[in-house]
Amino acid sequence: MSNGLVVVGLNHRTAAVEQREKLAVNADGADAAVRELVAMEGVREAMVLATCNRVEVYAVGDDAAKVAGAVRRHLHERGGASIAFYEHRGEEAVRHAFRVSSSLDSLVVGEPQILGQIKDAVASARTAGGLRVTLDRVMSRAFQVAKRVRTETGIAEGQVSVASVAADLARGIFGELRERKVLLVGAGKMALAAARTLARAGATLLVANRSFERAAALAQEHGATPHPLTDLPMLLQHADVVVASAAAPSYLLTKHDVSVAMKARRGRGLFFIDIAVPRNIEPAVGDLDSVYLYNVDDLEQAVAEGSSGRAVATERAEKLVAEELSAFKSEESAQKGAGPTIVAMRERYREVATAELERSLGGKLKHLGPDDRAALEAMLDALTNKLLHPPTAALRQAAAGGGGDALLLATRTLFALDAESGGGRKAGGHR
Amino acid sequence: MGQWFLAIAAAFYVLAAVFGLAYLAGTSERLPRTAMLTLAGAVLAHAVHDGARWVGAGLGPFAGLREAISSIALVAAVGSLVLGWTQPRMVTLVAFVGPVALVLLLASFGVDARPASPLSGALLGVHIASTILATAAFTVAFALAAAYLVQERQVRMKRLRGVFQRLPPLAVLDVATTRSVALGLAPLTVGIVTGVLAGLREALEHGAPIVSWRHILAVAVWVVFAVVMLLRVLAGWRGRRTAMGTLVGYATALVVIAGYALRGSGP
Repeated sequence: MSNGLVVVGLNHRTAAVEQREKLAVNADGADAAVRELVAMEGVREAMVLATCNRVEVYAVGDDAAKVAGAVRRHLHERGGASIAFYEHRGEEAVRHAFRVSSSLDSLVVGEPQILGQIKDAVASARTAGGLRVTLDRVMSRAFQVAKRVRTETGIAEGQVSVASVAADLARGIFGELRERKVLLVGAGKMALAAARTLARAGATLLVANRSFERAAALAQEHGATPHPLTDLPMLLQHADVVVASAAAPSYLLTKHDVSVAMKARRGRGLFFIDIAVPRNIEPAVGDLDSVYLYNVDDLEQAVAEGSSGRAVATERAEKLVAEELSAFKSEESAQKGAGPTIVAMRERYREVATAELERSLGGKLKHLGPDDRAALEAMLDALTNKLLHPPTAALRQAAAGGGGDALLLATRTLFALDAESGGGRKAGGHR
Repeated sequence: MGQWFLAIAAAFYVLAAVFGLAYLAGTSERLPRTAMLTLAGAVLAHAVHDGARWVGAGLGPFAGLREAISSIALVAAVGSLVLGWTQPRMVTLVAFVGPVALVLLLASFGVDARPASPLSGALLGVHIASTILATAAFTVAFALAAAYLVQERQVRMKRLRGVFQRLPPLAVLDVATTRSVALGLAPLTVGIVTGVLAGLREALEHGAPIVSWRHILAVAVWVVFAVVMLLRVLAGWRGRRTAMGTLVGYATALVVIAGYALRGSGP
């Protein structure tokens, strides 16, 4: 089953932020990308994982080479032909998914954010109709592996996070942070983590966000002062540290903006941490006197050095991933027997759902526009997946345990899988 | 006997600088204390040596250029010792002050020992004491400015371990440099005024020229440091610019000292 799984992408180790930001997508963009991918020939399932450190496409099809080719074409169209991607297929792709979810492939090994980001990507792929049997199984298992790694290896203990490195850097430049002002531009998760760390050190927080309501909510939570993004030039005159993480297609702060602010600041030092991808701050800002600019890649060395003390935990985590991969492969082989029944059951449900949907869209719901129709399709897809999850899991478990024949027979009988389906197809038989 | 203390002081200045540099390089976490104790040993030996010359030969700090230069090294070392003891990360100053103190100490023995100053009495005391204090403060400012430039390079090069973690924060170094320069400017002003008064007296009594090239250089030192302070207040010169200005000012001060040393200690 996972033989047709392919991962194509780039991360903080293989591509600089300048390249990664060309492929960066927000949640809506990820949904659209998944729809585009599953519409490509040979691609049955797809999921897009886009964080500040990586952009990866997980895709499934019958011919892995064809799927990889389609994904590469898609990525090159978006990011340009010059970008180089890594690629993993089959077992290696599963291993990669396990390592990524366990934070072994992260900039900060052991950081907890990646799991939430993968969960978001899975939810997005499910909504966009990209998540079916194989990806669902691989990702569900990846979550379990991540949980085991965190609880059994202590990989997250004493970790150095981007937030703590940012705070250390700010201290290295300003000393005590008690009377310093930290400006958050945007309200990304990493920026929030950095803000919490800096606030604990006694800094005063200012929040500027495109949505003032969001800025106000965040400000209330952290005892900060909210501002609209249009206040940025004024805020730059007062802040000592700027943590930027806003989702913006172009620079929010240019060299000219900062140069003007520095004149008003009478040369007082200003420290920028730009953890947004695409970046929020023009790189040339770092050339100005008394201005220090760090982006996500710049933090890598400090973070990696800070993580070196957890080599033992990392080694244990790698062993655990290998162990889980081996178990996954064994289960997959054992479950091959249950595969046709599961596929037939899902197809039966999907056929029914599609027929009902088409009838409704041709009748009472024919006034719906393309977006509403797509949303309705996605909802039905999600509903089908959720309804079928318990019987699918039970069938797999029974097959893996070696005693699933009775359950398989019962399923085929209960769901009438050996009878002619509504679409005229005969489900794959298995006894 | 005095020469022994001189040798001990010189050796301890070298060792203190080596320990300070080794700590900066990240060799051991126990080195700061060792570096500070070694610098304290150097200061003690240096003080005993100068004290012995004062008591034994009547050559106190105001006796001549040799004694004055030696006193500058001693006061600067004491200043960095106090800074290092009161502010934890300032201990790294030892790496910068140690070599300068050593060079000044050794240089003091290369100059003409004649007490050739035309000044006398209280004016002489005020002139030399204020000049010693000013130059010692500038020596500490030089060490702080050098540390600032090293630390700023670490931040710009994104080297966030080792030296970055051991040197004081940039803002702390910037403020400390400015304070040291300000601390040196006041006595230097007094030193220049007393020097000019002495020159006038000399001109009136012996017909000597009122202004010598050494007076001009001394004023140049004052001007450089005053400009650094003025631009900080008026034009927002901070950080790197303050540090560079301080280095230029200190280099000018060293040229003045070298000028006196090479051409005799007269006005």
